[in-house]
Amino acid sequence: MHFKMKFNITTILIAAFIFISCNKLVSNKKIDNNAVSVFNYLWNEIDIKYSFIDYKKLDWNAIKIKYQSQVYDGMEQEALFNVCANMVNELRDGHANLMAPFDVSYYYPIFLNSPQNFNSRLVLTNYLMRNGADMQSTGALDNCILDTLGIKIGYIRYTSFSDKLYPEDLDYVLNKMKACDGILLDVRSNGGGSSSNVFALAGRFADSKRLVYRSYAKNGVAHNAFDNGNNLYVEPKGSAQFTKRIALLTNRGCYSATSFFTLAMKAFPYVKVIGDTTGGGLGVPNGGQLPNGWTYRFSVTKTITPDGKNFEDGIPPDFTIWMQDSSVNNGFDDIIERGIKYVKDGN
Amino acid sequence: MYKTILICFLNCLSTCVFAQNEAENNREIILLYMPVKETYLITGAGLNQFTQLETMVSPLVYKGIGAGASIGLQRRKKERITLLNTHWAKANLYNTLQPKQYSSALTHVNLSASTCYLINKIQFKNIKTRLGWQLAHQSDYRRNTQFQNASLTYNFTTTLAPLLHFEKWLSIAENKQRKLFKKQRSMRLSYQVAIPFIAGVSRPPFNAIRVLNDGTGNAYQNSLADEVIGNIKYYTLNHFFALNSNVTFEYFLKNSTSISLQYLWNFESFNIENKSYKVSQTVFQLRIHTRLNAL
Repeated sequence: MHFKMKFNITTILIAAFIFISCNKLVSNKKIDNNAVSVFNYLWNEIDIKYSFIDYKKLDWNAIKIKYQSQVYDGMEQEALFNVCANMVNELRDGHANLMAPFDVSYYYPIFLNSPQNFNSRLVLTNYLMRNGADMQSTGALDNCILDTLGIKIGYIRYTSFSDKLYPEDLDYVLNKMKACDGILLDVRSNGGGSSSNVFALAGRFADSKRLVYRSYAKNGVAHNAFDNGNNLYVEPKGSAQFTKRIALLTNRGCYSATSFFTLAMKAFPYVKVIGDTTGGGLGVPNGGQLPNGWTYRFSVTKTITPDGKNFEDGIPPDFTIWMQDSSVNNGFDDIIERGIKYVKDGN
Repeated sequence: MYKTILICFLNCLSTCVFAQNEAENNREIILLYMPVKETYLITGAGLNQFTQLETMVSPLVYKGIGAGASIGLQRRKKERITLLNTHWAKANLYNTLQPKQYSSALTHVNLSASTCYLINKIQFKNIKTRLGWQLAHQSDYRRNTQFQNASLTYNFTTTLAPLLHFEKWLSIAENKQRKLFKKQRSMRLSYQVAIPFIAGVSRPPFNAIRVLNDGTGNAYQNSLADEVIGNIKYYTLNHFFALNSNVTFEYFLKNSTSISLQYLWNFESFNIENKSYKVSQTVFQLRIHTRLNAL
């Protein structure tokens, strides 16, 4: 049977061009960008994706009730931002930020509520510049050799893991210090940066390939839903590695990539962490957007040591040392001095 | 043996050249009345308009215009049309709530293989109707640096779809009253639509996150290839809907080639909680059909 019908070009064109308007099919009808929707969206994203709700024993439903009453449609953008930022800060996480065109929220108490345990001017004048011309700034690494009663100790200061470490710079510094009895690696107040620099630097102090931690990514809506985890290893990198005594100097300003680095270095028995507990930040942050265009980020992974510990709130040092005012006044950095003692005595 | 092959080859070659000359001289007649074997290389370039919703990183709809190019091979044998096609497009997408510096770069690649057959029992007046199938693979890479560790999200979709193809010849011989294109040229108008009924979809894991682990700065915890393969799942119309359609107006030249203007519209909607993805692609492109074989 043949279908006979009046079906001309015009009909085809009309049918085809109807689809031009079908771009409207791409919409998100569930979401409005009013204040209540923005608040609920952010709360829900954290609820299903944030990785430390259980670890930090947060009652996330109670936190919603606490802040929800402060949100109403039509409120000022700045007021909405403050409410949302306060809710985000309940996570007590330096990796949790809310970003609007007019402001960015931070969680400061991690290091503001702790002693600074670092004095950059003291380090510069009394250690780095102790022998004047010996101080060098090699790429991102300030370095010198301290000669303490005939014992030579290398001192390396790395201020930010955001500053790229080039192999040539590491080769130069480690070659310069290969005759030293030990190294003081000062990462105090290093707020983190790129994890690629973590492994580039740690590999220069590795004697063999070692498991340093396991990383688990959130993979479901339940607070304890994580994937099977991935092992992360540090292995020797570069033409030569320094594997004598190493004192890693830390304080509460060591966050994120610096905490990852500290955790990685603790896998090597000749490395001792000296100073204060790091700031933590061992969850890898993940970003997204809110219905009103603001963006956010927060941790979506957790990091577990090979022996099963979670140091999200900070990695404790092997030797806890706080700087004393009296020492500073006399030109001494207690943490550096303790590091020198470890290199000299091995304890 | 060698001489026999050589003679056959030369004979075929001369026949092809003769046939091609004949075809060019009698183009109008042949195209109108003789269903023949034809192979075309189709190259095209044009403008793309994208509308995209990627809920892995944002509840906002992003839109933008970009450029694209396509290359394909079409074979017409008797009443069967076979097409292998690749379409590549790139565009910067924006939302309406953020300044222009916050864009999302979208790279879109569409590979398809389709074949369709003339169905004699379903014919409209002056319009040839064909039915067939289409196997298509669509890749979307979205990069947005403002979302830390979620800067790259992707959507890989492989679909199998029934295909409906309409085709109408427009020629002086057929329509002497026509007012446009009065020269002795043939024209062809076709419309094609495919709606997949099964799809293999690969989307990023739950958080769209990749953890760096090896110090190279760009390597992912698992390679992207492993991740993509590991995340493939198959869906039918309950979670997935797509539509591929195009309208093509083809204008034949005398030198065995033709040019065409194509309007193409692709829509895809993947709906899984926390992983929804929608994209609409509208394309206007100019194409050149270069004939590769002789009659």
